[in-house]
Amino acid sequence: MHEPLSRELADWRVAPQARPVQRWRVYLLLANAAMQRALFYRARALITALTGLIQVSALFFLWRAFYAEQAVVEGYRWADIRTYLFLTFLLGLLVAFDTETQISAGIRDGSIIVELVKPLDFLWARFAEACGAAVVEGVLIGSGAVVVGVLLFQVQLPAVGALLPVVLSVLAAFVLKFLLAFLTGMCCFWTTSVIGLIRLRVVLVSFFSGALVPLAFLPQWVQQLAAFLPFQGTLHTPVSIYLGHLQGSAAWWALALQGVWIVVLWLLSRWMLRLGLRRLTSHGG
Amino acid sequence: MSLVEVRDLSKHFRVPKKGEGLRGAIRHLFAPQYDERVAVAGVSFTIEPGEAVAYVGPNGAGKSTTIKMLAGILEPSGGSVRVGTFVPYRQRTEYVRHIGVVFGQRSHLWWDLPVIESLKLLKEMYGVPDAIYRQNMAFFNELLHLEELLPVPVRRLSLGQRMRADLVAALLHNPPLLFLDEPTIGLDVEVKETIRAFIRQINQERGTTIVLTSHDLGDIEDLCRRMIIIDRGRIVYDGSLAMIKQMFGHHRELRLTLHQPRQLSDEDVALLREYAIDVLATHGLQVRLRFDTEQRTAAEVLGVLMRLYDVADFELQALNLEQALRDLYRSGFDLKKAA
Repeated sequence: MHEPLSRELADWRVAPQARPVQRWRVYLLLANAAMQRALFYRARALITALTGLIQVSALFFLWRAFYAEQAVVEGYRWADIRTYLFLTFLLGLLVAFDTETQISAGIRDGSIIVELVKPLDFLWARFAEACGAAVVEGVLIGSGAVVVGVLLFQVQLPAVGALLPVVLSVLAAFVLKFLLAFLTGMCCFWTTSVIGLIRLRVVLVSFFSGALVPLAFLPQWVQQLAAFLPFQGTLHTPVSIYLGHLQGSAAWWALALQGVWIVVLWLLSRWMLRLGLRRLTSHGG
Repeated sequence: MSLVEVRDLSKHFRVPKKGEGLRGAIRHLFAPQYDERVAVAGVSFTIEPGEAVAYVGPNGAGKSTTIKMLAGILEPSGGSVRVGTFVPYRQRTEYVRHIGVVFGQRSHLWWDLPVIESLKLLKEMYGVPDAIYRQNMAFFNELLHLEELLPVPVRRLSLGQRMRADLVAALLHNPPLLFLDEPTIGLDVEVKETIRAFIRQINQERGTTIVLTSHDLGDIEDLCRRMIIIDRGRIVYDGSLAMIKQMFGHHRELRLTLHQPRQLSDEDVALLREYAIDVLATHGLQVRLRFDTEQRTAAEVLGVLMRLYDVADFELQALNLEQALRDLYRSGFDLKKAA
């Protein structure tokens, strides 16, 4: 429907004097901006961490009572459970709460339009920011948490051979958690009950990932259901590898499954984003 | 060939239609009904490179919606938009490299970062060469006194300061086309002046094409020779500001405050007509009138009105052009032909 372009307009396509953009540098700078932001709101991050620690400590005493009379339940020793609880706490802090609320708030109050007039890929930009925030909170809280972990939880270290798969699995868990948060944010294109959505996601994830109770303690059918859902990749998989419940090729298969879920959720995020942007209604006239 | 070409552009929103109270809410849950709200109802115009165009209209007229479609944020419901070689919505991420956008109500800067950090990030994002960056910063500093703002986090800036920083952010990459959506909203007179002077200079010295929406006729008189007036999603007027001024420049609006309300008799109405006075609106003790200084002097008009009404106070002002044009349009008068 558009006629061929004249010379001068074809020239206009090239923005004057621009030099090629190094995309990775831009996303690195976005991550850097998110780090500065996370540092500014460090008190909030510390409070979140403290809340998590209190919750996990409650579970700690509950489990201790439970293990007073038994040595091994469903393949978990008391020492395993202590490590399990500590890892639940640490992995729970991976994706900042802020990441999620920022995406949904942007959609709800319309400030997302500011992001849309920037020459950025929306999904990659949010991912870069999530990474930046995670690095700061990781260093800030992680270092303190390790002290608590050693003193209170008497955490055991993984076998040397499991170290690489553990690190990879934790990274994959981070990406998965980010994507789940992103998808929850995307739902805000269709509904305004953000808090309800986030709560629903938190409950689903913590139940099916084994954050409330290790999956092995749940009925068989729940375990089977969990195996078909992406949530266990956010906690159950890395912790199982850490504890040595998944070893050798089993560990690598579990990692591969995390990878598959990352691809699936990433594509789903793209698709939801495209649909959502089409639906976007603007405020004001 | 024009830089911007808009043809029969329209945008509809689906607005949920809920009945009253709990019953309505429950009904909506099971059988949601939607109203089609027409924000833009088929507008067409073209903009040439280097022009400064004001896009004017009351709240909800469709100004921002049009700008958002031009900026590639919203997908049109019908019609077409072309800017340069781009179809904005379809090629958004590539297209937005070539434009600058300022939304008066929102900041494009990183809220928690010092202004300078935001600008450095934008420099990388748009691939601005160092030389251009330095040159631009010097230029902006001279016109907007940017230096004092650079180390301050955006959240600490006042509205006027923030707008200055946002303008710089939008222009850092020398975009040939700049969209300004209510750039002076909520600012005091002095800051408005600074910002208007800056935009004028960008338009005249750099040849940047400017599309501006505003409520404030002052913005338009200062910046734009051409204005497009939109009302209820349709274009009411597209032409020069000078023409409109010629047509209505000698019209005045008079606001009266009365001691007591008065019902006009047929005789009174005839008298008003003789003096070419239009009663625009009556609200209790407030009366808004319009007259034409080429037909009767203000003194004559006031004399008549003092006889008719028990006047407590009056205020005389130049006609609100936007309002006048809208009234005319709504009464079925074809402005495009008259102009």
